[in-house]
Amino acid sequence: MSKLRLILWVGIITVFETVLSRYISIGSIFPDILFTFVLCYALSESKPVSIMGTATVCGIIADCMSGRIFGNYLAVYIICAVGIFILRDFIYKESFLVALLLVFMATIFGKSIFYLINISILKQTGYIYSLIEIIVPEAVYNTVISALLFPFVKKSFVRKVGTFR
Amino acid sequence: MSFFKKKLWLVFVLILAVTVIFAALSRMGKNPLSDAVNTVLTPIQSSVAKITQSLDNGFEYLSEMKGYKQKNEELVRENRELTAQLKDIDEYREENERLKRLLKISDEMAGSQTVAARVVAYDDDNWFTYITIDKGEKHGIEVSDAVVTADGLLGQIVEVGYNWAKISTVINPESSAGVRIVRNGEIGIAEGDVKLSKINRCRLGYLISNASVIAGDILETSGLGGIYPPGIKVGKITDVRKDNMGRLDYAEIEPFIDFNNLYEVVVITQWSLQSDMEESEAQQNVDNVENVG
Repeated sequence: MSKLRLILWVGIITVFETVLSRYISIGSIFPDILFTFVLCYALSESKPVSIMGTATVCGIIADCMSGRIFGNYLAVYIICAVGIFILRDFIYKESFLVALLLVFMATIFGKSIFYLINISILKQTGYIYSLIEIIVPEAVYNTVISALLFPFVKKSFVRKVGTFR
Repeated sequence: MSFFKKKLWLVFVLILAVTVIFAALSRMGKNPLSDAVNTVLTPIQSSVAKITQSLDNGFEYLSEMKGYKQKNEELVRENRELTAQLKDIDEYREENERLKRLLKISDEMAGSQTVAARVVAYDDDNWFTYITIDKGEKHGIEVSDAVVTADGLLGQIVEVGYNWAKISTVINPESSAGVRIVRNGEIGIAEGDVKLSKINRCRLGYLISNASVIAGDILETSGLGGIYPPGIKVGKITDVRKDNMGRLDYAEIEPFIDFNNLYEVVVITQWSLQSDMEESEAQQNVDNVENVG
């Protein structure tokens, strides 16, 4: 049942993001809803294997959706999901604001990796410009989306009350 | 750390190996995993896209109703002006037809084959924009085919599957296309730029230092490079940037394509450089005849 819910979540988000991305952009900044979902899932799920599996599947889907070299998104999604999983033991404490902060920081970190792999080699723009104009606005947007998404994801995937971690 | 105790590093290594294999396959423009995922998703995306486009049109109609009266007056005025322009255009068209018959020019590019397709999805990651269409290998589309709309050049096919294909737009930071300035025939390369892509623009680079480029110049594909047929409208120059020495650095291009309203595109699956050059020469002859006239 949980797997079916997961498949539905990923399927709906993928179709929503690819078909409606033009309608949800703000100031030509697009959110990465699938990435945000992976982060929310990493905060909600207790099994590391499930987190790795979900991050892998979502990363593969994101790579398939883009026309770029395979592995870009996969790397970013897995690194950030695992990072969140490790960090949440130390700082999460089931605080909603900390969860949002983690999503924000993970987006900054993950998209900086994406910049390093894809954009820096083009030598068109510096990191500071990309950080201020693209990465931080996207991180803010992802954080806002995670504020809406996280309660539902948590409700869908937390196994038992009291065994959250 | 419990995470490492559970030997998840083994999973890491497995994923890494799979990634390397698929990355190598995608380098060759053919990724079976991507093909499978997109083959399943494209019909779903296509259905959802049709619904959202219908809703979009409905909302647009409703919002336009508000300013209906004012718009009607504007349209009546515009209609009068257009009727007058139409008369002029008819005269030009007749003249053009005469000259074309005179020089036996075909209206269409000889030897070119096209496939019309519907846009079903966008992939926007704030740096790159890829567009998915609902036609693929089974319709004769291949990697590197040029894609156009009624407004001009859109980009090229970068990945293709059984019933889908992905387009890299001309404003993508990795994209480039050989172009020439219609006014003076000078050639350059229209290339994507991270900063300019945020405002749906790209840049004209690789110009000779004393090139004559002015704002308002119209650009079309030069045919150099072999991907884009010559003569496709690309965009117009909006700004010319100079370096510290006052020499021409690059120019900003505003593509004619409206990237926010893309519903249908045309993929050029086959074209002949020879016929295009003949047409280009014939067009020059038309210009010469007009000048002589």
